[in-house]
Amino acid sequence: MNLNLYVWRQKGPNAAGKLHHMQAKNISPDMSFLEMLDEVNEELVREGKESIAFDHDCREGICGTCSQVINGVPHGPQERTTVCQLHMRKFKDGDSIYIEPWRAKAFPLIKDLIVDRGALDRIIQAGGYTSCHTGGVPDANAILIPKPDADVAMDAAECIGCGACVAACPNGSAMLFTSAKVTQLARLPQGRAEAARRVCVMTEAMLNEGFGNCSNHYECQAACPKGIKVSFIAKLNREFIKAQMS
Amino acid sequence: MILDGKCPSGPLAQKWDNHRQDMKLVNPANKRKYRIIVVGTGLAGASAAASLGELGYNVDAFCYQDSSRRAHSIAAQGGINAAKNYPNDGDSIFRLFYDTIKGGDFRAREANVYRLAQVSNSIIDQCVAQGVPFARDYAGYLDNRSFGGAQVSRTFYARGQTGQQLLLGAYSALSRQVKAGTVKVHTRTEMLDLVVVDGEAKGITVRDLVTGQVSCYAADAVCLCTGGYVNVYYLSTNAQGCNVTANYRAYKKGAFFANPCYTQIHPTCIPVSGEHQSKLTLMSESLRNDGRVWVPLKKGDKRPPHEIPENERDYYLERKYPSFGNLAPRDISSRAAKEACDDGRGGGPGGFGVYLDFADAISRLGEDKIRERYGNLFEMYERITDENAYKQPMRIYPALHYAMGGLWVDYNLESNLKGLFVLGEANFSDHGANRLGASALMQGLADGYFVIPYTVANYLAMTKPGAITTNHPEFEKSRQDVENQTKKLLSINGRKTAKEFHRELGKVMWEHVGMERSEQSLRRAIEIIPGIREEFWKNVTVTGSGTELNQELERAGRIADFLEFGELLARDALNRNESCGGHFRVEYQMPDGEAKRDDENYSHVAAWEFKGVNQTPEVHKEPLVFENVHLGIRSYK
Amino acid sequence: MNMATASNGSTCSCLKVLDNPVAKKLLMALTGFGLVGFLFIHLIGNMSLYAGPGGINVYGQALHALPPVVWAFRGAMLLLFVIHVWLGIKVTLENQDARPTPYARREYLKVTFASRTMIWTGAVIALLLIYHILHFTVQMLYPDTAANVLKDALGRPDVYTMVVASFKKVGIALLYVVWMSAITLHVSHGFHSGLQTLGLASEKTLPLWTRLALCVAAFVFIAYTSIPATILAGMVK
Ligand SMILES: Cc1cc2nc3c(=O)[nH]c(=O)nc-3n(C[C@H](O)[C@H](O)[C@H](O)COP(=O)(O)OP(=O)(O)OC[C@H]3O[C@@H](n4cnc5c(N)ncnc54)[C@H](O)[C@@H]3O)c2cc1C
Ligand code: HEM
Ligand code: HEM
Ligand code: SF4
Ligand code: F3S
Ligand code: FES
Repeated sequence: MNLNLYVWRQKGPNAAGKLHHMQAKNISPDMSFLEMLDEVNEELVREGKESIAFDHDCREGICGTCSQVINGVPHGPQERTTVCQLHMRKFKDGDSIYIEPWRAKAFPLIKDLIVDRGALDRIIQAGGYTSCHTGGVPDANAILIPKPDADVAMDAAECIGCGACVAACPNGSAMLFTSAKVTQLARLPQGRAEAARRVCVMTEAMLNEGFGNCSNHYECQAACPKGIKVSFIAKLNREFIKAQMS
Repeated sequence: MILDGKCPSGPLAQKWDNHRQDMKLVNPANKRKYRIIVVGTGLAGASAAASLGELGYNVDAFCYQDSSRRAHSIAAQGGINAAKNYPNDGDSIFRLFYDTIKGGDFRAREANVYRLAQVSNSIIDQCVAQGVPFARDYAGYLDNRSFGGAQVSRTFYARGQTGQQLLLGAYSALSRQVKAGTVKVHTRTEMLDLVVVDGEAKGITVRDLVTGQVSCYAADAVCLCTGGYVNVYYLSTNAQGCNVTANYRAYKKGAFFANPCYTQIHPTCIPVSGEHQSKLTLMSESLRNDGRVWVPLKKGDKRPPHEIPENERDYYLERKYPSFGNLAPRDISSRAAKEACDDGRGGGPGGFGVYLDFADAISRLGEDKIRERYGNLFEMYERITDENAYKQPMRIYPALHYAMGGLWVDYNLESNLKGLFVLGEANFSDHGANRLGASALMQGLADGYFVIPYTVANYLAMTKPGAITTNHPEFEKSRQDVENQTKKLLSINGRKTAKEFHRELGKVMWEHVGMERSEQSLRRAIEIIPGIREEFWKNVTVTGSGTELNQELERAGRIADFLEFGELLARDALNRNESCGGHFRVEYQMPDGEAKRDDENYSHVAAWEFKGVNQTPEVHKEPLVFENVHLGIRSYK
Repeated sequence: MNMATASNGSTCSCLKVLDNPVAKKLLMALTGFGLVGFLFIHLIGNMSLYAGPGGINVYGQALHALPPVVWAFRGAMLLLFVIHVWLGIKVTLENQDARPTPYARREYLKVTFASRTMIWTGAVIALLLIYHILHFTVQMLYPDTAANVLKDALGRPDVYTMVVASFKKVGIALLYVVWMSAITLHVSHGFHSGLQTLGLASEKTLPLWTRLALCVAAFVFIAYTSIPATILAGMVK
C-alpha cells in the first residue's frame, strides 16, 4: 500500500521545524511502523538526503526508546502498543499519517522526532529507589510479601519510561510516570521506610524539571503502552497526604 | 602463547573466598582519588557502576541510548537462576555449577562457573532489597519455575519481564549514586576507541551522539560492559543498537577476542515475514513448558495446521529426545527445527517455521490458565503476526540470540591488557560453548555486584591514581583516528546504504557461519566477507554531517566493525574442528546427529590477537583443566 | 499542612510545601469541595423561596440576625474562594507553560470539554458571582426592586419580591442560566477530579465518581435553574 506521511523535520533544538509531506510507497501490511520508516529512510539516503531521525532500540515494546505521536496520539492508534510494535496492517492504502515528536517543555527537542527525556531519569534520581547497599541485605525470603502487594508493585513496575504519558497529557505532566514508581516502592516493605520522603522529593523534582500539574484529564492512561493506571496517581496522592501527616 | 586464567589454587569451593582474602584493598580515603570508566549500563554495567560508586570511586558510565535504563538487558523475559533451593527439589551450588558447565558443553572455566553459582544467591537477595517485584506465591514467598531444560526449579522471574525488572533495580541503584555524585552517566555517548598506554588501558575515546563532538576520557581502569555481538548476523533478537564496536576496537588495541564462534541460536522466535524485517522477536522459552513442537509429516504439506490430522504430524522433539522432549536444550531444538524446514516440512508462509501448539495444554489446563501464564507473550505474538495463538498454533523459528564468546578475561575479569576489565555478555567467561536459559542475567549481575568491586580494587591498589591524563599523546592520536574514520565514512558518497551492506553480511553469516557450519562453508565466508568490506569502503553512502545527531553515521561505524568481526568469527569457527554447544560443525557429529566434541585437541579457549585488517589474526590458547567434573557426553536423550 | 522539613526528612525539604504540585492540587480540591458545600447550603436557603414570602424572608432575616456569625461565615467562604481562584489561575498558567508547542494534529481519547475549560468556567463563575452579590446582597444594581427598600408587610426586607421581580426580567434570568451552566460544567469535572486528587479514588471507584460527578452537577443545575425558570414561567408569582 501507499501512504502520505506528514513528518516533523527539525534540524536542531533551535532550528525552525515543520511538517514535511512525503510518500511511503508499496508498504507491506506485515511491516512494523518503524520498518515502514526504515524503508522511507533508505530511499531518502539513496537520494542523498538526510534520513528522518527517530529514537528506537529493542523494537519489541520493552526498552521505551521509541517515541512518536502518530495522528495525534502518542504511540499511535493501537491500544497498549508502542510505536515499534504497531504494524502497518492497522492502516489503509492512501491513508494520511501525521508523525510528530513528544511535545513538552521538559522534553527539549534534539532533532526531527527525537527529544531529550533526561528529565524522567532525574525524577528517579531524586528518590526512585531504596537506599540499600550492595551486599549486606537479608535473605530474599526473610521478609514475606503478600501476593496482592507483589502483584500491584509489578503492575506499577511495568512502566517502560517512554514518556508517552507526558506527551499525551495536556499539561505535560509526568504524574503517571512518577506515580508508577512511587506506587511500586510504596507497596513493598523494602520501599516503605523511605516512602514519605520519596513521594515528596520525586514530585518536587517533577516541578523543577518543568512538568505540569495533574488536572486529572486521564489522557495519560489512555496513551500508556503498558496500561499504567491513574489509580496509581490517587495512590501517590494518598502517599503525599500520609507524608504530610507524619 | 599459552594464556593463564589466573584461577586461584585450592579446593573449588574455597577458591573465591581464599582469593578474596588474598586480594589487596584500596584504603577508603584513597578511593575517591581513583577514576573508573564503565562502558555500558546494562545489568553488568549498571550494577558495576553503582557498586563501585557506592564504594567511593569516581565513576564515569557511558551508554549509547538516551537513558541508562534502556540497555538491552531490559528485553530479557524468562528469568534468572540461583541456587537458593527454596523448592527443596535437590538444587545446590554444586548442581547449578555442574548444570552450567555441562550446558556449556565443558568449554568454560570451572573456577569461574563455580563462583557464579556461589554468588547467585546474593543476587536474588540484592534485587529483592532493591524492590524488584519477583513473582510470589500466596504465602508471600518467592516463586520459582523450571527453565531451559533444568531438572530443578531454580529460576526466579517477574512475569515475562525479568530482565526489565532486574535492570530497573540496577538502574535505581545507579540513579542513587548519580544523586550522591559518585557516578556521572554519559548517555547518547558511543565509545569508539580504547586508549592504551604502555600496555595498560587508561581511557576511551567517545563520540557525543547529539553534538558529534569526539572527546577522550582518562581513567585508572576501564570496564567494558557493552553486551553481545550477534547483530553481526543482521537479524537477531538483539536491539537495533547492539554492536561489537567497543569490544572490537579494544581487540584492535591488543585485547584478545575469545571464542567468537560460540554463538547461541534461540529456538523460539517469531519467523521472518519478509525482506523488510529489521529484527527478530523472541518468544520466551518458558512457552516450551506447555507448548508441543511439531511439523507436518509430509513434505510440502501446505494445509493450515488445524486441517492436519494428529497422525500426520511429527512431534519431532518428543520423538527424538523422549526424556527432555519439547524442553531439549536450545542448540538441539534449534537444529532440529532447521532440519525439518530444510527438509521442506516447515509451516507458514515461506515454510520457515515450525508449530508450537498449545491445544493440548489448553484442553488440559483451560485457556485461562494459559493466559495467566503467557498472556503477554500471546499478545505480543498477535500484535506481530495478527494470529491468535489460543486458536491456532504459534509459528516459531530459530534466531541468533546470544554471544557466549567475547573479550578474553582471566578469573579477575581482567583482559590481557592490564586495567581493562570486561563484564557481562561482552566477556567470554562463564558459559562455555552454550549458555543455559536464565544464566546470562545471573552472570551480568554477579560480575557487576559481587566480582568487580573486589578485583578492580586489587588492580588499583597497585596503580598510582590519575597517573595518566588526556594530555598523553596516545589520547590525541586516538581522537585523530576516530575523527578520520568519521570523515572517511562521510566522504565516500557511494551508492549503497550501510544497511544494505549489513543485510548482505548477515545473509553470508547466516548461510555459512550459522547453525550448521562446515569447513567449506566457513572458507566460503572468509572469502566473501573481505569483498563486501572492500565494497563498503568504496561504495557506502552516509548522508548528513559529523557535527550533529546522525544515525546513518552511527550505523555505518558499527557495520564497519561487523564487516571485520564477521571474518574473525568465521575463522574461529574454522579453527575449531569439533562440534560443541552452539558451535556445530557438520563434519563432527555422532551418528544420531549429536554434537561431537574433541576433548583431546579442543578442550581450550581460543583467544585471537589482532594483527592488522587484512591479516590473519594469531590464535592463543588457554587450556581448560577440569578437576571436579567428568567430561561426560552431553546427551539429552 | 506539616511544614516541618529536613528535621524528620519526611516532607518537602527545599520547596515551600505550597509549591509542590500535589500540595497545590490538594488545596484546590479541599477549597473546591468547600465551595460545593456552600452551593448546597445556599440551595437549601433558596428553596425556601417556594414557601412564598413567608419562607425566604424569614430566612433572609434570620440570616442577618446574628451579624458576627454572618461575617464569620462570609469570611470563611471568601477565604476558600480566594485560595481556590488563586491556585486555579497559578496551576493553569504552569500547565500552559509546560506544553509550549502544540501538536499540529491532536486526537483526545479521554480529555473532556469540561476538564479542558475549568479556568474559563471558573472565570464565568467568578464574574457572575460578583454581579450576583451586587444584585442580591449589596442590592445596588436595581434599587427599585431592592429588598431593603421594599419591605414586606411585617417590615422585613422583601427578599421574595426582589428575587421574583428580578427573574421576571428575561435578561437577568438568562444570565443566571449561563452562570449555572458554567458551574455545572465546572463541577462535572471538579467533583471526581477532586476525589482523585484527595486520593479517594481507586480503579473500581473512579468510574463511579465520574458518574456521580455528572449527577451532582446535573442536580445543582436543575435545582438552581428551577428558580429563575419557574418564576419566568410565571409558576411563582
Ligand atoms: C530477547 C532476549 C531475551 C533474553 N532473555 C534472557 C533470560 O530470560 N535470561 C537470561 O539470563 N538472559 C536472557 N537474555 C540474555 C541477557 O539478557 C543478556 O545477555 C544480558 O542482559 C546482557 O547484559 P549486559 O549488561 O552484558 O549487556 P547489555 O544489557 O546489552 O548492555 C550493553 C550496554 O552497553 C552499551 N554499549 C554498547 N556498545 C556501546 C558503545 N560502543 N559505546 C557506549 N556504550 C555502548 C549499551 O548502551 C548498553 O548500555 C536475553 C537476551 C535477549 C536479547
Ligand atoms: C438562582 C439561584 C440563586 C438565587 C435565587 C440566589 C439568591 C440569593 C439571595 C437572595 C442572596 C441574598 C441573601 C441575603 O443576603 O439575604 C444571595 C446571596 C449570595 N449568593 Fe446567591 N443565589 C443564587 C445562586 C447562587 C450561586 C450559584 C452562588 C455561588 C456560586 C451564590 C452565592 C451567593 C453568595 C456568596 C451570596 C452572599 C451571601 C452573603 O450574604 O454573605 N448564589 N443569593
Ligand atoms: C462555585 C464555585 C466553584 C466550585 C464549586 C469549584 C469546584 C472545584 C473543584 C471541586 C475542583 C477540583 C479540584 C481538583 O481537581 O482537585 C475545581 C478545580 C478547578 N477550579 Fe474550581 N470551583 C469553583 C470556582 C472556581 C473559580 C471561580 C475558579 C477560578 C477562576 C476556579 C478554577 C478552577 C480550576 C482552574 C480548576 C482546575 C484545577 C486543575 O487544573 O486541576 N474554580 N473547582
Ligand atoms: S507510565 Fe506509561 S506512558 Fe508513562 S512512561 Fe511509563 S510506560 Fe510510558
Ligand atoms: S493526562 Fe495529565 S492531567 Fe493527570 S491524569 Fe494524566 S497526568
Ligand atoms: S523500540 Fe523499544 S520500546 Fe519501542
